Amino acid sequence: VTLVLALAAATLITWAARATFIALVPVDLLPQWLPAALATATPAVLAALTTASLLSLRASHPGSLTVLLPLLTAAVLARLGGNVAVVVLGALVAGTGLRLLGW
Amino acid sequence: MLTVPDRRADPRIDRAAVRDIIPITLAVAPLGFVVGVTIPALGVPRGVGLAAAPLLYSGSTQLTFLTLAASGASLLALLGTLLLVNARLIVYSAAMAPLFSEQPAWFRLLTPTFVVDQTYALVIDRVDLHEPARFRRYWLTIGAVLGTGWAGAIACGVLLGPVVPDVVPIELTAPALFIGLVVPKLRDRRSVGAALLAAATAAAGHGALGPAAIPVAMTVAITALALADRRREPRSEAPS
Repeated sequence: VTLVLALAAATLITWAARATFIALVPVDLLPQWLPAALATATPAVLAALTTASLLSLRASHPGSLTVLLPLLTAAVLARLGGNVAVVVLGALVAGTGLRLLGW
Repeated sequence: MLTVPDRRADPRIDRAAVRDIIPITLAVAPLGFVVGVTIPALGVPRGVGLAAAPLLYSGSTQLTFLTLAASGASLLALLGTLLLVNARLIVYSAAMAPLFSEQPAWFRLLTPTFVVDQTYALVIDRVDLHEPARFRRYWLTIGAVLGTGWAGAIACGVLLGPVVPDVVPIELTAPALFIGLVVPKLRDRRSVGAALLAAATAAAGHGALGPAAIPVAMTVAITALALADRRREPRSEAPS
């Protein structure tokens, strides 16, 4: 019962975060310049998420080429215009290959 | 004279949305698989773990919930941590609010559940989604496809986790996915500068702030963008 209650509370707080300016608080309350800046902030938002996930990975695999090389592969594939599935698959294949080679 | 409605002009399922979301769903599937493997490994009842997939609709939120719930954290600690992990979603809701402003109440109340990094990245730069009915179809389609794929991947992880060989580096999925999303967005000096600023701030704050460094980094970069825009705006001419 406690776990189910915790899940219900977690669902509510996650929904509230997502719905804050969509259903709960008028976005007009924000200063006028902010929505315009937010609309063009996607690269910054994604860069913060990328950095956080890389740092979490570094903590468990410090200085590992089996991490660095697959992620470089992912970056190159992304730069070449590969779709996201191809990018992730490329990283997984590179990482698996390196591990099979004993790196 | 009877007219036959043209279903191709108003399909219930937005084909463009399916085309856009399928690669992303395939890309997040390994991450969902990892979440699925984690559920029995942490000792969380499978029913609760699987129910969390459509309810929380986010890998980071679900992993945080499972980890804290399994460790016996208090409800207050659990909710406080989830608020920090999800703080970026408040930023997304502000950015996406104009797309929802002309939608019916049911849509504004129920479908913010689909707001995640990937769906935000898909719609925020699009200029063809400002017509409310078009956005509604697109948003419901990407939300349903991604949610179904995500829940399916988690279920597979729960069932098949024990037979995956250790040689597959599933832990690379999340960073590779974000790399795949961010690199194509780095098109000009403005986007590269904002991304570098956000990355540097996230890196600097990661040790001290943990997950809270993410919304802090976003806030710093967005403020810098806004200040840069205000400096670039031409000043109105003074009356002579």
